[in-house]
Amino acid sequence: MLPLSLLNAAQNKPMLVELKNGETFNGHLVNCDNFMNITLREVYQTSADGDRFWKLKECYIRGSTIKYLRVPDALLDSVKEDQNRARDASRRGGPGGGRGSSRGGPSRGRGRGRGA
Amino acid sequence: MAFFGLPESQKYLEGGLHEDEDVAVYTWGEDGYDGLGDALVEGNDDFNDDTFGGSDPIGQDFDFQSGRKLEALERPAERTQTYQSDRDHHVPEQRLEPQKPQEQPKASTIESLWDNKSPFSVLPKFDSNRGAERPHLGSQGSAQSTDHGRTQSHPRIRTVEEIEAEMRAAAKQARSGDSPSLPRAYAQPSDGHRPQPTSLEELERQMKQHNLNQLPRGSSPLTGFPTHVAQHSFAHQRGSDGRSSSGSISEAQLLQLQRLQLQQQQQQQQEALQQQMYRQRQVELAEMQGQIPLDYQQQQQQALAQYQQSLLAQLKPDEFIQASSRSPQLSFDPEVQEAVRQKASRQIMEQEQLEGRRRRKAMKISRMSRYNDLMTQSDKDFITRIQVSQLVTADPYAEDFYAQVWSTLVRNRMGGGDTEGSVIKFGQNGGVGGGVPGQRGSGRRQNAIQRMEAQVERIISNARIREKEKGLHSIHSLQGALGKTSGRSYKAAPRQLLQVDAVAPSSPSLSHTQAQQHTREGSADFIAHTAKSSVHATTHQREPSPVEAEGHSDNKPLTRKQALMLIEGLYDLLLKIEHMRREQPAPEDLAGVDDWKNRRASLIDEVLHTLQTQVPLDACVPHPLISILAPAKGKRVIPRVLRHLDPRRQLGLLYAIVANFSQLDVVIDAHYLDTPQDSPERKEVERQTQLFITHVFQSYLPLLQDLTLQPIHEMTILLLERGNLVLLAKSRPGLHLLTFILSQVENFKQEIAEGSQRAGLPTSSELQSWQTLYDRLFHVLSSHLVDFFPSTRLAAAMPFGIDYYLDPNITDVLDLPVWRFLAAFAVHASMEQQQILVVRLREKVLDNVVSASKGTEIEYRRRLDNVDLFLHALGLDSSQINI
Repeated sequence: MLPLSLLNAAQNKPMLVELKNGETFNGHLVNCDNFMNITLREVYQTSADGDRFWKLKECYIRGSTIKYLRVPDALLDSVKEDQNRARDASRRGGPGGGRGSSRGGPSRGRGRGRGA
Repeated sequence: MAFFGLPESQKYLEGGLHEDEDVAVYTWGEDGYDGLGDALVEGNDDFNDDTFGGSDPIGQDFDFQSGRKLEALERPAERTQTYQSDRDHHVPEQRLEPQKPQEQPKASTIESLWDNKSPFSVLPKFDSNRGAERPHLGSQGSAQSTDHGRTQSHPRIRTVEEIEAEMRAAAKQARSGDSPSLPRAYAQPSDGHRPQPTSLEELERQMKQHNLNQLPRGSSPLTGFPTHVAQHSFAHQRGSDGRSSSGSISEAQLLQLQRLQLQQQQQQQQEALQQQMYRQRQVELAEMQGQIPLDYQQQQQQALAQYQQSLLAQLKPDEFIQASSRSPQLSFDPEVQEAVRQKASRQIMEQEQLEGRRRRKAMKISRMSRYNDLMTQSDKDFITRIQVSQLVTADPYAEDFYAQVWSTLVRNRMGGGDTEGSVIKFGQNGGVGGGVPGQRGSGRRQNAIQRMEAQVERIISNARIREKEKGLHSIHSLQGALGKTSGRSYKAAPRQLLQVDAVAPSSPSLSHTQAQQHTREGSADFIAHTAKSSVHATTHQREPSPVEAEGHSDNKPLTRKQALMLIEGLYDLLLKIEHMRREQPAPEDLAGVDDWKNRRASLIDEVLHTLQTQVPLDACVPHPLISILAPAKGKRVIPRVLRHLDPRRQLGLLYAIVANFSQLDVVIDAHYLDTPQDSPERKEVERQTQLFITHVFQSYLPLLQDLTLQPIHEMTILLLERGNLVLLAKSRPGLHLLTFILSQVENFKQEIAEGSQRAGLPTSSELQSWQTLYDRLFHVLSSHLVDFFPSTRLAAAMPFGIDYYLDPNITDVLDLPVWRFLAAFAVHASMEQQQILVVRLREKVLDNVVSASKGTEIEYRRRLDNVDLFLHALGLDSSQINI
């Protein structure tokens, strides 16, 4: 799973964003895009020195200024689970589909023979 | 009775008292017996056969006594035979059969059975010296047994020898731990196969049973031990199933141990097992023989010893081997037992601790790695591919110059071997996803990276070809752009890339509207796109045209930004020139060499042009060249430029610098250094001064040293006429310059005085003109001599009276160049000039000398040296000064 897809999966979850200048933003993710620009709501902003705080109802952060994002563990658990489920589904579907197609071959041959 | 046979007694027997006899005569047990015994009816005879076992055929198994002369057995043998048959009936498995009377060997006494001559001596005895005596017994027994055997009839000899051989083999094999032979040894007498397999199978069955029974009880061996021992002894006390169950229980003990400990040294466990079984068999054998009244206590101790030994075997296998080989007597000393048990328990606790620690560590690791593998390897490869495509370049020396040079330097410093000029490629460190946990993963990654590189190179070459075809359409491609420009084809939707004002081209910033297009393209497309743009950028960097210089108006001094732009242009040109050096064609290729030379020359011209040397000296203040020299980068570029210039051009550049020397930032800002307190400006000035001296002066040294008087003359004139000498002399670079000039001339003079006829020496007329110059210099400088001392300036800058606290170490060091200058200065002075010098500097000198004596040894020396520099030039010495 790529980082951006993890971010997309984190919509409406609380997260912590640290910028390159050291400021941290704690809030719920509203939306994100491919440049990692994000909008958050109910945000608590902390200055780089950790001495000043602001509360913002909503804020927009440019992706290029982000240093990292911290995401709740529950999200990681659910993502991991989804991944496993998807993997199992694809694994079961894949071999099953393969078998089905191979079964189609010989019967076709026989049919043709009979027809001829 | 003696009278029985008498006929007249019959009368009495049948009748009663007859007339012939006086006494009643009884005749028992003879023919005239009254048959009373036959008339006796006894019951409870039904089980006689069972009890006395007379009906079964007698087999030859374990017929140890046949062929033996055991006469004493004959008579009591009848009795013991019945006893043996009793015991036989007790045991379901009959490994030993009672001997037929006629086959019993005749022993003189019962005791002789058990001395060293009898066959039984081959059996291992349960005593402390077992291990030591076994071989002896074996050999002795074999000797005796053969003797005995030979005296017997032949079939007996054969069987006995057979058996002895088997027993010896068994003894040897038991010692060496070859388990399969033991049951074989027992099974060898072929007649009685039946008991042997059943016994083993029975044992194994019982082992399994006990496994199942005792599996829930996973208790430690020590807690289970007393119960086992109790079972063991209890089982022994029971007659019927004594042997089998006790055997099985001891086996089960071992199995439990196996389960409890870690599975190491299985062989040794089996060894111990086999040894135990063997010993057990011996015990049972002895029992069967019925010769030894077995001591159950002894058996318990044996079991204990075996148990302990097997325990130790689990815990410390090597020690166990040593122990068993060394002292088999450890089992019976109660204190030793205690110590062994404690040791065992301690080791168990240690093991448990280690296990606990391991478990905790595993927990921690699992906690930390809970979220591993959210990104699959394919994800990582995808990202790696994208990053690699950005990094892989067609021409690493052009694009990645500093990394290449640095790596070469490092390699030269270290190994020095390998391929010297090799270009470092991305992927040598394993690329993204870093480290090397095993060659398998990194090998695969390197393969992926190599494939990626190949693909990207293909793309780049395609892009370059396309670029060449496009070639002349450079209008819509951006010139002089910093960074990558878009490589998209504009056939479909041409857009305006740049909004440029027609008026002022001096805004170098370009908006990359294309930057936003990079993200959502497919990966291959993306790679192609960026590859093209990188190629694009490369080709454009090859032709830097400092646009600003063209449009630059002569009267305005360069802004810092402009200067920086020019410097960048300079660096590009330098890179290009240095790159060209690598591309130098072979000398045979004349046309190529010519072409190369021309290209190089044009580049160098351009460099000089960028340096604004063509601009007239007085075009503006400060001269553009000086402005370029202002930033640190400008100072650093000079040595690199000089490397490519021929001496004439170097000199020209020097002239240009010297001409406007007083405009240099280091000169103008030198006064910052005079304030004792620290400030950011002071630091900056200090730094710039240092840079200037190291880069500019040092790089010019080789040229300067070869100068003749003429250029020096020229430079002095320049300085005199154009420079603010006093201001100049208050700066370190200026001082250095002046000192250099003066000392060079001094050298010339000396050489002439020595009479050398070197080519570049000045003529006397030159020297004359120099002297007049000097006079002018002197005139200008002499009145301000004291001010040249940094210490003086510092002292002046400080509030009144505090100059006492000036750190002499610093000031002395600062003053040194001044003293040097003064020395050089004084050398050329005439008498009057010297007088003036002395007068002017006398206070300073005296000051130094006086204070020198007050200071420490080092300070003293330093100060005096400083002063001496000057005084020696005058022909004086500090010692001449009397305080």
